[in-house]
Amino acid sequence: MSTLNASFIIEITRRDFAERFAGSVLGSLWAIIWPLVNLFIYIVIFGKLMGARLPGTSEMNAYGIYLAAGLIPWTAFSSTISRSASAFIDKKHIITKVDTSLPSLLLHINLSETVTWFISMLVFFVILTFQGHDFHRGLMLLPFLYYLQQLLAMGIGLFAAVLNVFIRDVREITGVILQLWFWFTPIVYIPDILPGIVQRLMAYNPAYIIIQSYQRIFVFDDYPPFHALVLLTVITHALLLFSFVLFRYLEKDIRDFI
Amino acid sequence: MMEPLFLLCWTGLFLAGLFFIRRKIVSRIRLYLLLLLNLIFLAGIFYFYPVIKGDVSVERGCSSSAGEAISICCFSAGDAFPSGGES
Repeated sequence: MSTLNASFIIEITRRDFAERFAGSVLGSLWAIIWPLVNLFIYIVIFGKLMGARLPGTSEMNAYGIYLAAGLIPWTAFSSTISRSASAFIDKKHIITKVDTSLPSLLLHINLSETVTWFISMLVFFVILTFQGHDFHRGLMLLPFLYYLQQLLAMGIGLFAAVLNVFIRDVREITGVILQLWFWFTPIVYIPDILPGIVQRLMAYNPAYIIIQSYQRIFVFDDYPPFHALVLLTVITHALLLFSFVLFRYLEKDIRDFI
Repeated sequence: MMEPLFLLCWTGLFLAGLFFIRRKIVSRIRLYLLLLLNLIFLAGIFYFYPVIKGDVSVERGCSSSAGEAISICCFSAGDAFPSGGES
């Protein structure tokens, strides 16, 4: 098995980022423009123009902040999974020519999404600062929350990537599941509107635990649900272990298939 | 003051462990050790952070001891969601 090569991962991450805006006049500036536009839509269009309110809050922008706090991590999480699902197939020109470790192809996706998440968060922070938002101390946990979220995405992504080599439908199935998962997670709506049974089921939704943590920190000036996060950490690592064992068991077949 | 100090020290320990495993451990078991180290690192942060903070009131809707962590499965999402925006 090939070993992980840090410089190789950084190089393909840099290329991945450059290719996304290749040929455009503004180049990497688009990486800042997109989050700006998205946050403008969440905060100004939904919060101010449409007058959407969070129940029990009088703050004008609360719903916009609630949306942004949920959508920024969800975008990173879902993009990592959907891009990872087809990583081995999409990068087969590299796999067949360079003796590289296959998980490094997933790591570069994670790294690339981290750059996008970081820029979005930076823009979000700037907007919140201009609005005079008081930041909660739980903010210190943000890097660790993101780390856990991306580990979970990597575990699911690796599992999907392995299956996708043998069953090409997995890529489409992943997209469908992510779409359903998005609407099953209270990101654009609040969980209070759900029926009681669904609210109880929500405790088993790992994405909800993560998104809820962000929303608590940014909107409700509260700490994340710590014990739910401990349990999610254990589940995430069990899933990662399972995916890696499956990957190692099938690695030779994956290379042969590709 | 204790919270950032705890996060820094815990992360420092994790990075030292990471460096040691990468340098000294054979590749066959390296991955599993890294996963274990990761698990201890993250679970440790989310377990010890409320202890360091010295405030148990944040655990609304959750069990108050880590030994009962599994009982989070019993709380409803609505209970855990702090409606009204209070802190």
